[in-house]
Amino acid sequence: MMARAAFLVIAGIAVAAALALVLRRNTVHGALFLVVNLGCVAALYLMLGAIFLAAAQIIVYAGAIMVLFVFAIMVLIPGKEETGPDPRRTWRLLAAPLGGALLLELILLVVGRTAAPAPTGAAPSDNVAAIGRLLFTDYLLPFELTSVLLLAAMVGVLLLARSREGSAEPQGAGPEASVRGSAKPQGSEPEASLR
Amino acid sequence: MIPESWYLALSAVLFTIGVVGVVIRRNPLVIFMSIELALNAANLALVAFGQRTGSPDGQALVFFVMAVAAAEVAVGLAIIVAIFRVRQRLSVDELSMMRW
Amino acid sequence: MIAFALEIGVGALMLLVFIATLVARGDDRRWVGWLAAAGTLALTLLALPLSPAPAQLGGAFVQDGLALFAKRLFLAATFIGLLGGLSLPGRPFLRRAGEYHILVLASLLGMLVLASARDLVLLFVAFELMSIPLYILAGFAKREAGAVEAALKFFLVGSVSSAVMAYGLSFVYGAVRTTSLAGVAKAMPDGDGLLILGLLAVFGGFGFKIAAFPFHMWVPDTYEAAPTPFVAWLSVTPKAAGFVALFRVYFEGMGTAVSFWVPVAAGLATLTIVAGNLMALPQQNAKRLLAYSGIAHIGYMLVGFAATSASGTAMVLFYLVAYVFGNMGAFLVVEAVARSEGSEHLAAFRGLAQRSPLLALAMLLFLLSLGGIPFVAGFWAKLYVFWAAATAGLYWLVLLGALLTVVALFYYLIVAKRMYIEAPPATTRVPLEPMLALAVLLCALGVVILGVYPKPLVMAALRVAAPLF
Repeated sequence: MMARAAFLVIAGIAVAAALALVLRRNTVHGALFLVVNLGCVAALYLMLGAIFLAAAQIIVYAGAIMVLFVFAIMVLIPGKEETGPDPRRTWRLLAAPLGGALLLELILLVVGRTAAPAPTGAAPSDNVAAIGRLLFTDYLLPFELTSVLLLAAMVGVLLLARSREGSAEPQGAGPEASVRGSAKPQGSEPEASLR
Repeated sequence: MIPESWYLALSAVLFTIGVVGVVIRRNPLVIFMSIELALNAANLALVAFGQRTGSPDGQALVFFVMAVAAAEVAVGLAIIVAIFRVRQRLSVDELSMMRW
Repeated sequence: MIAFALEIGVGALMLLVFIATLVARGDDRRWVGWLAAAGTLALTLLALPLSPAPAQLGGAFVQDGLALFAKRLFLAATFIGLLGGLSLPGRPFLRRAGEYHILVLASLLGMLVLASARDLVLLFVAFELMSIPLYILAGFAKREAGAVEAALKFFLVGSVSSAVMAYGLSFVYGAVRTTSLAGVAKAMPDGDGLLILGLLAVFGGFGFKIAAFPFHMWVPDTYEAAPTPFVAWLSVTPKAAGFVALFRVYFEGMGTAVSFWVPVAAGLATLTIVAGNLMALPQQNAKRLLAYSGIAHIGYMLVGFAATSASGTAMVLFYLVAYVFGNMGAFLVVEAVARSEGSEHLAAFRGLAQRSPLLALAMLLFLLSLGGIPFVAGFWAKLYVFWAAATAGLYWLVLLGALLTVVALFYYLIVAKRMYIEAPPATTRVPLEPMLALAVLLCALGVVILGVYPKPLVMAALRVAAPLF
């Protein structure tokens, strides 16, 4: 019963966050709602016994991908269109209890899991080991392809997001320059070596 | 235990919301986030399906979907940055190309 | 290891180009492109004597006849595409030659693996490795608003298709509880609703990539705005890879259950042929015209797919080869004319026959091939595909396809009329870079040789398609 109640609450938050992302005008709030949604799904992964994926979800999605999103939104969209004077505050206030509820759910979940019977799958520690083994045996080829993909994506991002084409082209001035300077957080160092 | 069908229903709801977001929104960044929502729903369904077999195949597939999504996000945001460079000071909402 | 020879080769070549890019200095770095083109040529030649190898990685990776046929085609098409792009003018192409070629090779690696993938995980990763570099390449001219906007559109549509595909894969996995495509094929005859729904969603994902009708909207804008030699390659190779993957997922090992896909493919083929041809009619931009006509060609290939037979599959393979030569060649001629006239409008082709007779002749050959006139490759391709569909009893589809071929001839011949009948705006020859000329020549040779003597390729295609059923 406990697990079912927890599921319903998490699912409710996930759906509400998804709806808010889609329906609200404000892009930054949308990104934060997506973080909430991703966190809910991570909690569901925990309930399903997929510990490795729950961690990866938090680290990769909520940690890396969404930070990139929020960063891009903040940097790219001029403040006026983005955050009107009044909705900003109320929504930020609303986001806090949502985050709190999520935290509460995570705690409830952990407590519930120790009491509830273990799921049908393997034990949690085995789960991580089993995926690791799989990645480096049966799925070795896709794993290597992923690394090629990440390399290609990195080269592509440098190509597209790099601001200066070379010494011949003058750097833009004023607000634009600050945008350029900060728009590529991971780009600046390899850029020098690729050029 | 929570029935598998609950997870699948939730996954379906999230996927639907994501697709609806792609259709109704005009801002490329929000469309992009809606796509991530839909991908995530697919991942949830995969993990839920994988639970019954007890084999980590489904979870490995989710791992790859996540890695691919990371590359996709980096590329997509770089494209959006490039657009902003060309059309300085323009809100992304105003892009004319979003006529399908 | 021999089974992975080509993949290792392309991966190594990509890393070599990457290192060369790191050490390259100065404003002209096209030698990196030469390196990539030479390497691709070497790998194409290496691929010719290869013979099928046993399945690897527990059946997830197969190097059978179909895979080798497809890989030779991808490598040859990529070589021609790189050749056509070597002389691209403009600062970005001089300085960014390394990045351009790294991305093309990464995408090529994805295609090679896709042709061999017999596992859902490998299929998905290879599909994405093929797709993601293409989004970047579409926006390669990042200083032009049109190019980056087309890249964004391409990217968003492609990402939606990835999400739909991933969701479909989750259903497939949920229904058969394995990621092996052999397991999927075994479960197909049971007609599990979840499995069918999943496979339909995956079909939608592929539909975006091959640009079948309801999923085609990214094509014209992307083709118009992206660099033309890249478009020449983009318009053929990923589509060929998509079709090979379709055969692997929907045909291989399914036995009689393949008949389930007949209405799906036939319906999609009908829509795609009608929409592609009718939308091509009013186009005045050569690249947009070829974009819509390319959509129509995908429809004709889907006709062969709808036959769901070994001969239908073989004929689609033959069609793909003919399409690679004809369509790439046409795009490369557009590139040559656009470079000289500074316009991709059809008016730029006025009187081309008087100015550069050989170039006009090559374009005429490509147009005739695309239109399906006898004694060039495209004629046999259409004939064989229709014949395979008629054998499968799809007479109405054949009739419709034949009718719309006439419409297609109309807009192809308008271009020919402009080249041969209208008066030229100038009398000077259209300048042609040697490497671009060589690429056009290779395409023209392919179209003519396949048109005069198609039998060996047809036999080879039949041989590699037979084991699927």
